[in-house]
Amino acid sequence: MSRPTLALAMIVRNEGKHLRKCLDSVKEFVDEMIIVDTGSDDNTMEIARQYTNKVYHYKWHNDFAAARNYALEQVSSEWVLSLDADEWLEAAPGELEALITNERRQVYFLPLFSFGDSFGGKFDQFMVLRLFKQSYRFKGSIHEQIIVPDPSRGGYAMRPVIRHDPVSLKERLAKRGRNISLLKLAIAQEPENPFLYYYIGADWLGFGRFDYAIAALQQALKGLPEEQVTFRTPAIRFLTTCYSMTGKIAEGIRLCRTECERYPAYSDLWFSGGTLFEAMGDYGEAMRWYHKALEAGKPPPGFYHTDGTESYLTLYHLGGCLEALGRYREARNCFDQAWQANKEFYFALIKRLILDLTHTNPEQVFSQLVKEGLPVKPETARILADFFWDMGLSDLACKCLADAMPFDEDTLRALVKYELFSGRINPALDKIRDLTGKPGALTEEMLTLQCMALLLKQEYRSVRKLAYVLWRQPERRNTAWAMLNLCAMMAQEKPCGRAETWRAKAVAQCLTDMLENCWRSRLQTDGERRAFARLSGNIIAVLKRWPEGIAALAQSLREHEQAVSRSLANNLTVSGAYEHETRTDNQLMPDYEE
Amino acid sequence: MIVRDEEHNLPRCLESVRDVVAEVIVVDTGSVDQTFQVAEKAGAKVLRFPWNHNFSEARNQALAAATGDWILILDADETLAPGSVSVLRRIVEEPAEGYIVKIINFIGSEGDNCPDLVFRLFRNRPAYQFHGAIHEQIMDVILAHNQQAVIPTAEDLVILHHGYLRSQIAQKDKISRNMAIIEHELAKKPHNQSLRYQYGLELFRLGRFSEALAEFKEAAKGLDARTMYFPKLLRSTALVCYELKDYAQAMGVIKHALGLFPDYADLYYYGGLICREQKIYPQALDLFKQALASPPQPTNYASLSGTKGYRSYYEIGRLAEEYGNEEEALRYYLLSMHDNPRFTAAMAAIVHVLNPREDAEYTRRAMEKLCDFCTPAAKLLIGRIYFAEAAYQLALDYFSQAGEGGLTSADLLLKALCLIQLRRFSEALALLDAILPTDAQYAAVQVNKLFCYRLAPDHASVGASDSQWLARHASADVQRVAGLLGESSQKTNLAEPVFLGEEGLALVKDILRRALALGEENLAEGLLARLNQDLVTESALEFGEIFGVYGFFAQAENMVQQYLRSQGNCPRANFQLAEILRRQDRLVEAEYYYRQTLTADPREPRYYIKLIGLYKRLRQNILAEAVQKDPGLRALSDLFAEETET
Repeated sequence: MSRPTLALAMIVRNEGKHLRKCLDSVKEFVDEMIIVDTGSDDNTMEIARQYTNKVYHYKWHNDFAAARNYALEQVSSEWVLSLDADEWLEAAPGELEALITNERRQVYFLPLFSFGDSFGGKFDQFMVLRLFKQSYRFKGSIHEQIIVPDPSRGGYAMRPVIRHDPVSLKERLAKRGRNISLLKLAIAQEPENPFLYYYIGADWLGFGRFDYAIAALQQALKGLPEEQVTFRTPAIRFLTTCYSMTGKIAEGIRLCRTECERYPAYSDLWFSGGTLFEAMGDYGEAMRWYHKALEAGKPPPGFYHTDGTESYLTLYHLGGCLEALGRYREARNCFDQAWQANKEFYFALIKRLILDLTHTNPEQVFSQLVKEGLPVKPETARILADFFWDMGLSDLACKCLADAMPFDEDTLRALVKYELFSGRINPALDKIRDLTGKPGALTEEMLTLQCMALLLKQEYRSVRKLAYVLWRQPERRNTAWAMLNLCAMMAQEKPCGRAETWRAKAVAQCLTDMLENCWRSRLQTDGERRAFARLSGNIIAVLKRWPEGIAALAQSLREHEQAVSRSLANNLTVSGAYEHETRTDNQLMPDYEE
Repeated sequence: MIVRDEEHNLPRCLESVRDVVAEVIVVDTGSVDQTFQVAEKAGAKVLRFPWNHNFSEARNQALAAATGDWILILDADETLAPGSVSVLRRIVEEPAEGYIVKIINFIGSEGDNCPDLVFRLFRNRPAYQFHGAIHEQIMDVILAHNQQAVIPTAEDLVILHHGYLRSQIAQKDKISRNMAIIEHELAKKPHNQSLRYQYGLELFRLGRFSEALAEFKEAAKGLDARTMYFPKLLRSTALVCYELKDYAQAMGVIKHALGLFPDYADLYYYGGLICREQKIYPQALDLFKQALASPPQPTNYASLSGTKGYRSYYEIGRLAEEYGNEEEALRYYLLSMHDNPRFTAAMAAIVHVLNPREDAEYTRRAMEKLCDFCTPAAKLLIGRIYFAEAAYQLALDYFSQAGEGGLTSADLLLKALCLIQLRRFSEALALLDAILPTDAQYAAVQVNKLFCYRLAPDHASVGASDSQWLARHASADVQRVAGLLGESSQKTNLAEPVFLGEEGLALVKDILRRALALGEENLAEGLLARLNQDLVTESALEFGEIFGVYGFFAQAENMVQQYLRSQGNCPRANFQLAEILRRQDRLVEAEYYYRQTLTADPREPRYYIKLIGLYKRLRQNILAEAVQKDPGLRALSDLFAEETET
């Protein structure tokens, strides 16, 4: 039996940027492509024609359903796949075929993953109706829907998936603005339609107009029947977001409680409830909800789902609660489990490392990381390196990057810094020389580091030469001034004098920045330590020459003092109330191991 | 009572019951001292019993000889508390078959004790016989015979037990004797949990911790939580894990035990110690506070004295010191001392905070206000504490006030050392000469005489060390140290480097400390130069610390650097180096080492506090200098003023 035929049908306008990616992702799986343009003035039509000759023009009159239905009119295949131009399909051969050869089904919901940060997860998952028999039609001028008279003919598929590019804020707002005015018109005509309230609520949320969103979403929830999970579940989640954004924690919790009774297997809801309790500082209750989220597991198909609420995202929050309660070991385990569950969710790894570093020495922490297999992906290596640098561990930052070649230029620059402040002066200088030929590669920071390296090596003539080069570039004169003075001071020549008043602040900034970096150094030999102490001492001596310098120095020292006080408070004075559970019997004498 | 070789204890015991018992039956199980005679002289009926490794049989023989209506069982190292005589008279008139009474076990010289409950008083009936070879029991027999028997607890009848104070060797003997008997019993009744618990306790006392733990676990398996000794069993289990340094398991046991007995102060106290050991300071603090807040302890908890008082106060004081809060620390040490004036640790801690080495007069006045050092014993005590703090003049004052009479040779030696430190050599030598060759301190006496001669060569012409004794009786280490001190300085270049064991090193460190206290850096350095240099490197951190304390910064820095070069990145050495640099006002260099210390060991609050202090000091110095140079600079003057305020 030959398989049913399949068409791609889409409406587009000014999608020159996205269209190619979309069409490339489906061209192997469909028998025809119908592209209806509603008035592009870019190269959209041109691109479309390279893929298909079924390109049509349709005059836009503020009705999405009409436009889409026009596209459906052009379809000659039995099934239709409907996509937007900024989406693309992630399918393996045979996946679509398997769906459309199932005679019991006439429509399918497919998962739509949109990259987002609405809940801290990596992406959110909606189920959307995008694959259906050609005879179905759209309804609704905006957020047009396929109307399914017999729900038993519909199915939820887990594959293939539709992906959505992250949309720039401007684009999104422009689109939303257009949607909201259309939706208002539609609501005036159909004041009872809960879907319209849902859509307008989601759009208001996107605009950050939480009060409007709350009213609309509440209306939507009232009208949507319980079984309509594809709309009700995102509506609930959006509404909890609105509540938590507006500080209406009690309302949020009430909503979560009611809806958790309705959908007890919905991990996202337990997760949302947990975050609300966490926000209130009720960590015990938050943890109870997070445990429920973990127990619930992945929600059934059709439920709006933020990836990770059933595992790593919740574990990450659970770790946060335990940490707040001073239960470090358990917190650390949660962060670790979160990281193990999703090796891309490096927030969890970072949190684990922070806890580790406040409990053991960094060498041990690092060797544990190596034992687990350092994340080898260059992006992650860079994230880790930056993290270690921020923690004042330049040598470990270097080690993170040691095996992560090849670098982009920016990472190479970071490595130069990390090397210099872990005492690897010559390798750092070599890398700067490698960068020298490339246009724009030698940023001001690189030049500063180069000067510092040369000062550490007491190569004062080279420093002076470099500083004169800097002086010729007017925007780098402050740095040049700082270097020349520092160099004079260190070579024990006559200092250049006080910085001009209009320059004084900027020079002081430049010098304190240098000092701050010296105060992150982690060195190997006595010689390096002496060289760095000498450099820092001289930077201070130069700064002490004028009031702005002294003020900047005093400010920087105060910040250091406060930073150490803060870490003392964080690491060692958390109210670690000791707790135990009351028992009445000796039935379960544990083996005591934790 | 049954006794063996108790001639010293017995009179005290018999005296305490003289007015309340009608007859005293003493069964001697084979004394070789005057026990028999002592007992007879006190009017007891004394019987001999050939020892057969069975306590019950011996006791039953004593019961058989008794004719009174009631039996009171005592051991020779126990006494009936003075106030208990009238109680005893009263309660034997009640219609009871026996009484559980209170026993207070004294476990240290500072009044430390551990009260518990025991069954020692019952009616004399032929059927009531002891059984069990050790920890002989009788209560179960009484209950078996008479199920309606009333056995109340009489906590106001108190037996005082001084037995834990006896010498270590005697203890060990007793333990191994008990072990043999228990092992024998266990072979017969392997499932007897109480016996396992007793066996575990003996193993614990012998330091065989893993075996003890196994016994405790076995003893606790399925045990009814209402069993009288169950709380103690759990406490012992936690303590044995603590000894094994298995802190996770120890805390697991504490947590479990607190679930059952949430009012047990000892569990909080030991939990606090365990957390402290792991540097989980906030939780340790919380646990000590909960220990303090515990209600009065049921007697069957055998709660250690001070867990809900002076011990926990003291520990909180130490935690406050960790956080650099000396005022708070003092407050808690004072609370501790107030709760138990004989608790020396608190007194020593207070003295340490007051820093008598540099602030002698203030410390003296403060301490005099706090305590009455009116007895010679109290004067010696504070004298020793001052000596340990290197406050030699203060220490000498108190040793002198204590009078010559009561001084042990150890105290005499300390007094002589104080005199050396004050360069009163003739007096010191006179005291040292008074200590006899048979004395345990004699080796130290000889070493310090040589130290004296080295400091004041004039005295060498009139006195001499006992070289004969040194050659014949002193350990190799003492001989070597004596040799080093006796060497004339010219020959030293040629001589072989000297290697020392632990004892010798301890002596050298002591000499070093006191030489530097006297400002004799040449002597100190000369001594170290003669040692094997690998040995010096190994101990360089401690040597460096000593040089640092007395302000010899160059030598201190060299020593610590030497240590760091050989040992790599060690937080303690980095910290020491930072301290040395800071005290020379080399703040930029110190910053680096404080920072490394903190990074390497983030669990030590004082590392944070030192680094904070360093940034603050650096800032204050810079601002002060700027304002001094140019007082007209308003902005900086304001910053500086704000600085000195806070």
